[in-house]
Amino acid sequence: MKKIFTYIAALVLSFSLVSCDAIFDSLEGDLSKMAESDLTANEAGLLRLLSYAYYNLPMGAFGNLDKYTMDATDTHGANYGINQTAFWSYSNIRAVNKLFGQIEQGYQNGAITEEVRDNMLGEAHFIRAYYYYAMVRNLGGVPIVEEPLDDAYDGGEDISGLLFPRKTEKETWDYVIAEFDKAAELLPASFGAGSYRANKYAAYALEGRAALYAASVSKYWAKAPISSEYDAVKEKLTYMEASYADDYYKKCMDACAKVIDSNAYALYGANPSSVADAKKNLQDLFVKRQDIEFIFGKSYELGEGTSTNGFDYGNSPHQVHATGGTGWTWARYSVTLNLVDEFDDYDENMGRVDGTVKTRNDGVEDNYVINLGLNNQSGFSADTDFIKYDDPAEPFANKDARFQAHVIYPGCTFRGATINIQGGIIKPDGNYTFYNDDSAELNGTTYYTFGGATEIEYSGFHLMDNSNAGNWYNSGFGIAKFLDPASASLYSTNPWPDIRYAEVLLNYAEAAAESGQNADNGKKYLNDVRHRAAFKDDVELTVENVLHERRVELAFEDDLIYTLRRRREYVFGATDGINNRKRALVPVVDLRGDAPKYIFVRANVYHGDVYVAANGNYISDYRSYYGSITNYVKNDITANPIQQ
Amino acid sequence: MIKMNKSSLRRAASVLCGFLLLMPAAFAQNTITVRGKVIDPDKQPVIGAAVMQAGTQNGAATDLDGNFTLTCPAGADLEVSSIGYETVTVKATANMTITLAEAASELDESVVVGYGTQKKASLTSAIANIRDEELMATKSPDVTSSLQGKVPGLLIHQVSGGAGDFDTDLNIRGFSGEPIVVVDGVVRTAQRRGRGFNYGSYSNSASTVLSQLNPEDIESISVLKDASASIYGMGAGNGVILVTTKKGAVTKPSVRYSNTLSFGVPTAIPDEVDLATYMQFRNEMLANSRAADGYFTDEQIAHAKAGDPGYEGTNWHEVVMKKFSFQQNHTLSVSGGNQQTQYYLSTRFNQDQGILNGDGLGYKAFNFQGNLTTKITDNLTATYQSSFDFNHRMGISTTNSEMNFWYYVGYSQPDITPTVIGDPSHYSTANGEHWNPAAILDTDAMGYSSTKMNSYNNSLDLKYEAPFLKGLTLDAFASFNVNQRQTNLLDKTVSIYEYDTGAFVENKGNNFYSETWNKNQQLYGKLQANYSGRFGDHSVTGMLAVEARMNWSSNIGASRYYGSTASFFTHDTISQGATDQKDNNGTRSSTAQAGYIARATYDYKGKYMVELSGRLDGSYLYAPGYRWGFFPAYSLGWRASEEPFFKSAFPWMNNFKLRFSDGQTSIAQGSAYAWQLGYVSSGNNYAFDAGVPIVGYYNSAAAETIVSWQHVRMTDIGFDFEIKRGLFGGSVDWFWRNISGIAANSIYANSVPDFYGISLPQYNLNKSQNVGIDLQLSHRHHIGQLNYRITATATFTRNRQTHIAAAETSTYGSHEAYYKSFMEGRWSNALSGTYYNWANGGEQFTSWADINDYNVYTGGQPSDLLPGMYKIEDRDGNGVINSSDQYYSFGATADAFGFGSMGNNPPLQFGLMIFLNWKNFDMSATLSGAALDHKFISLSGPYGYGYFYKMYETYVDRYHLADGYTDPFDPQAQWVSGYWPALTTTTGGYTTWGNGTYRNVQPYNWINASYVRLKSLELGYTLPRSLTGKIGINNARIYVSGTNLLTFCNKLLKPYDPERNFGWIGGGGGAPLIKTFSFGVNINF
Repeated sequence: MKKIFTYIAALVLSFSLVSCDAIFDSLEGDLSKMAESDLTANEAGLLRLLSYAYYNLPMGAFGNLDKYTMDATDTHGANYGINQTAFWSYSNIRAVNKLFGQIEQGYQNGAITEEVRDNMLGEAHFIRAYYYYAMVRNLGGVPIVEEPLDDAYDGGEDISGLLFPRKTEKETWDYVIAEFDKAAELLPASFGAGSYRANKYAAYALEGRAALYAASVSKYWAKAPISSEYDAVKEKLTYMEASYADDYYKKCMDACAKVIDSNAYALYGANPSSVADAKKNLQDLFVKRQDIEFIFGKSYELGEGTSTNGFDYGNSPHQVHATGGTGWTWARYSVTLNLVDEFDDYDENMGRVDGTVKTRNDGVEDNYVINLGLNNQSGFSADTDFIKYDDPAEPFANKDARFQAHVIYPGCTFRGATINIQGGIIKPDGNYTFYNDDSAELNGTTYYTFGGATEIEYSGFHLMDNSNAGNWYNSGFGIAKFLDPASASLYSTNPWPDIRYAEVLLNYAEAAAESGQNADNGKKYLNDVRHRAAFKDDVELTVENVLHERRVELAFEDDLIYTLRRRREYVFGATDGINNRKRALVPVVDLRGDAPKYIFVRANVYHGDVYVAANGNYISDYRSYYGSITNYVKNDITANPIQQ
Repeated sequence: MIKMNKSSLRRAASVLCGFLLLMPAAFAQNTITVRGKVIDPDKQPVIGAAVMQAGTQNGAATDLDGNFTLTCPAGADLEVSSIGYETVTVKATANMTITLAEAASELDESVVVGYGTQKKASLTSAIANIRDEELMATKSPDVTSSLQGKVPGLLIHQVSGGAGDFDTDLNIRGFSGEPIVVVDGVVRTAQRRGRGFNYGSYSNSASTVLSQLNPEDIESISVLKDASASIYGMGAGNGVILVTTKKGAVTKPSVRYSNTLSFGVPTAIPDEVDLATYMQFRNEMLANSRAADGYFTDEQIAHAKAGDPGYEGTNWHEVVMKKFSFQQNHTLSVSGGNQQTQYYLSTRFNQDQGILNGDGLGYKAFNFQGNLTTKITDNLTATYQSSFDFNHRMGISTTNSEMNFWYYVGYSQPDITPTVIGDPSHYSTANGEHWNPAAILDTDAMGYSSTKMNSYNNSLDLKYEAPFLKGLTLDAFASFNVNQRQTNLLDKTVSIYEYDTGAFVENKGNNFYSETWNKNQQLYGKLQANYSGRFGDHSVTGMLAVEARMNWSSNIGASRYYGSTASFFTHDTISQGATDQKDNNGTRSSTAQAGYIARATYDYKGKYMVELSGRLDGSYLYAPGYRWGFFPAYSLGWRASEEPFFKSAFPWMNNFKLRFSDGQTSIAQGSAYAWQLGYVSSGNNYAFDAGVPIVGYYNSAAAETIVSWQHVRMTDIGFDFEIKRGLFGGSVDWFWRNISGIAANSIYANSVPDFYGISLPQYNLNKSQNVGIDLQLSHRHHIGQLNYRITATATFTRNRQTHIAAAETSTYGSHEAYYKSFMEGRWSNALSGTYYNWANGGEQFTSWADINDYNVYTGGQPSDLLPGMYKIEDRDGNGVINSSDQYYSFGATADAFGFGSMGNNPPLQFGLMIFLNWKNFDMSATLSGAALDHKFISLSGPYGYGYFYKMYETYVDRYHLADGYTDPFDPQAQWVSGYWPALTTTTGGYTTWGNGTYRNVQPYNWINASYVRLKSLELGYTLPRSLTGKIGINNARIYVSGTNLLTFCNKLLKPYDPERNFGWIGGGGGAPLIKTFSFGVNINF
């Protein structure tokens, strides 16, 4: 027996020589995972962390936000309401809060120089400011978390370290402005030509935008008052007052002036030689990045053929689409007559004159046909005294270069094709058809409802009741901004300009007009923008003129929705809202005479199979100016009025 | 070294000639009449023993007194056999008394268990064992499929039947997840092709190892179903399957050749109506759907009736499938040895050309196995085993098409010819998406996907029998395995044309080529000590072992495009593609596991048995300090039949054993290195400069995730019995498997404020349970010279979640919502939630008036319905059909889209094996079946009607308008009734998607998928040795066999096969199952 124990002992000993834990430690580990220390060991690692923070900036790039306004509509009939989901991402805020420490660690490690460190810290401040800006603009005051909370919670029941009350709306705006200021101080004037990193002027430009927002809300909060019975108002979480306004307008102008006075930026093609020249400049401005005007935005050139913004694929007109006749979604961005009327005409001296599209000889341009539906027309009379044009493009010949550059309109030339947008036909016998395929002959030539015989020969008004295949403009106009006028592309990579110099000028002008300060500069900047579009006259600095200019200059750039919001300019009340509709201009070929003529019918935008035109966006409750706070119960913070 | 016996090879070569030359030989000899008696050792007569003159069919059976009479040549060899006794050979004399020794019972057989072997009699756990003979009764190249219906507790379900896909699900006792598969002591995995959307990807699978083994090489398979699996430690919670390959024996060299030649046809393909009928039905569908256009003209229908050129009609199933598939399987093995050295060498060639009608498609495999055992010294034995497997699967190009291939077949229109009429070189549009199945099968036109796998497995075992202590052996074992996979995908563009006009429509395909290389290496080492000793009535064994296993795997892939318009292709290699559109990728990973193992058994007089085992196991998956777990198990056995009182009470019951086992093991969970805080790629790039993207890195955890394995406890109570030495026998087991520590979100996950910014780690919180029973009954007897053996098996298993942490903080909007989504404590296969019952046992809407008068709100417009639809029962009688009228039922193996629970193994499965032999004939049959399972048939799927441009014979019995009516919406319309509702281009109504409430809940949608099938049937004949012996053949057997020959199931499932998965995507769940007819020979030299 004793022998046995000896053997067993020997065996156990030999087994224990195989130290098995060592084999686990000898493995390579998870090669897809990087330790924080690896990422702070060199600049490339820090850039990866920074890239994540940049990527998550809520820029709304190509987000089609103008479809939430009166100025654009979705071709296949999707309904856009007033509210969008507010940015609410404390996980992104944690990432950027950690970034401060990581950049500092990188510097301590000798991975980056002091200058690179400061620049990166500036970027972190910029990104954090942007995140909070995106929250406060939709939600009012929010809790401000400036440190990572990784150590503030142990996974158990005690969450006390994670509770943060909301700041007042004013405190939050002040924080955003201060963060942009800190960013601007740390950031370099430039990261080099063509860089998409935020530089000093990007920070000032955004600061100006944020300050203008804060100023507008201050000034106009009482225009859409919310009862102080609501906790969020009582606690000033969703509350601003007029007395704050001037200080913010000043901050806005100061920040914008930093950009303007630096002379680092200018309007691209500031002094065009002709309307055609202006049009070309204005097209170029959005087809590719023009460094002189592009202050901050997002690149879609990611080095892979398929990583793109897809804007061209989704929005090119049917006749000149990259797929050439097959595919699923395109021409989805219809521009409404509401915006088209807003674009001025040039007078003979290249001055400004009202650009409302002229459709009738009697001058009545505020009458809209309720419905030109597929099966049922109401409100249309062929006997109306329409102006009979020889060419469908004729009514738009004199319009603002920005219209010509940024809107696809009936009869325009785009990518070498004449774009047919036509929604009706009046036959020689006086019978007419709208939105349905039909044809008639005149003088041996066949004319069609849609201006062409087959689907790929026209770009408007076809299949409007088909939500899957509605790939023809339903308002008479389409977007041309961001589309390359030379050629179609499946994979467009033009950048998204989040803020460009023209907006900085207009922000300054608006602040000047609203506050009455620096009026001379304001007027100059306002008119600089107009002059780039080949207008030669000067207009006065008025709030109305600035807003008009914003609407046409910054169309489709996600500006209008926030302008309406911050200035409390949504139409109020359900009744007013229903009357405030998105309008279409329906070109019709009229064959009743000796030669075909084109008349234009003002009508409500027709959506799908619903015989009610799309309503304009209105609010029936002022509380809607502030969105809902996510998880307010769990987060133990005051809810917004709309939630109470 | 092995000395090949040249003469035996020569004999092998001449075997075919030998067959032809076989002649009945007649020799004049003295014949005598033998009168004899057969008795057992207790001098009792043996009834029904077979007495055969060796090598002839001359024989007799003993009567009730054990007497027999036989006429044969004097001195001839007589073979005397009876079940339960050793067969003896004696010389014939006139009067003789033959004493038969009791045969070693099956109870004395050795069974392979974890890290050793045990006598069957002393097993205390639920370990099922199957031997080569039973396995080989089903001739399938897929070993997993051959096991179906044969092993209690093993649930097997063949999902699809593509050549080389081995798409068979296997689990033990309904445990979700694959068991561990151990081949000759080494845990192995092989790469398995994904299903559905994962068709192009591969993952490691244990059951695929089993599938790809050469069945001829397998000696036995043991299935550890209960706590006996604990000895494999981590990951053994789903049970363990042990495969042992054949070894040489101390015999003269024996050469064995066997082959199988098989012809296969699909088990089920629904019949289609002819083109003219289809056209009429199509018009009927369109009219019922209020379609404006798309109707076939009378002229077209007349052409179709006449079979005019261009109107022959296309049966796409016939286009894409061969008349039959051909498979062949050849195995040549040599085994033998002397006292010093034994060897087993084998090689196999296996080919399955598959049912798809495309050149070069199919599967080929070569297997080589070499097992060599030699004594180095008296005490030291070395065993070297080596296997090399190579297989090559050639399939259609996977990009876009393979997953959907059968869907495209179902979707292709019968009125369109596969190629342009008059121009067979141009492929037609075929269907709405223009993926022409005939073009896809043409690898020259659209490309291919080729997968080659190599697997090298080598092991060396040194066993030392300690001279100083009898019963002690020391064992050192090492193995090194390499698996490689090479996948080449060529995706070519083909031009598609209108079938009648020949006009160009579009190009399909990508002009893309990719190549992926994958390599897995595994090193395994083990040191083991075994002791067994007997001290009087006490037997003890002990085992100690330590082992470690490491895996390294790496992947590298590259792809290029050949340009969007290129129709020109060079050789299919990466470098030939365009350099501006290329991609490449590579990954690498390594894993390790280690364990210390101990086991002790004690046996008193073969009556009382105790077994204890434990394993300290470590895995790389978990954090330092949390890597090791201890997994103990114990089991008890009592052989009551050895007790004197039992023997006197039940003398006819020679074995009755009660067993109880209980043990802990685990299932791995969580991703490796979750415990390491780190940053990973978000997959999103931000370009700091145009064209220079930088990938963003992020982390989303603050604390190390310390989630550990799932804790599995398996308990089993069972008994085995045997009556009259094998006349009847069986075993029954009840089992429980409780799992705790399933990773789940913390109960605080719902209460931590957003400001934390971090997702909380998971913890070991949830619990689940499997409960079931499995049983086996066998009967062995003979009628005269007809010996037979029948074994029946059945398994029923259920599972449920017994604790859900998140349930504590979840809220439900309504009682109904709670009932539908609260899973805790509910048997999962009884809960699928959303099915209605139909009113009055299946009352149909008989007319438009009936629909309009119906006073129950159906959830849509009356016009969404059509005559022939079945009324849904308004269960709560509130006049509205809504979710509160739903019932619960057993789950479906595939939902409407073929996703979700696709591939579930039915919870009740059973089988029956029959072996017969009579003289030189033998027969075996296996039945297998399943129940408590449902299939979902969507009428808007490829096997539905209308929407997918097919009309199957099944649907002819339908509601339709009586002659003379053309408007189905005329309230006066007269309807002729039928089982199926009126045809529509969609199902359930004329609007785009019909009435959602009614659409998928009709009696024909939800079908009981219980079935029984004749899995295999084989008939063999062993040629008399008197003939074959002359040309050196010891044994030659020829056979015919078949698989999946007959299927009994609900008639609605008959056209689709009840076992196979069929959903919407994957066009009816992939390739059809195959029914095969085979013949072959087994020859031993």
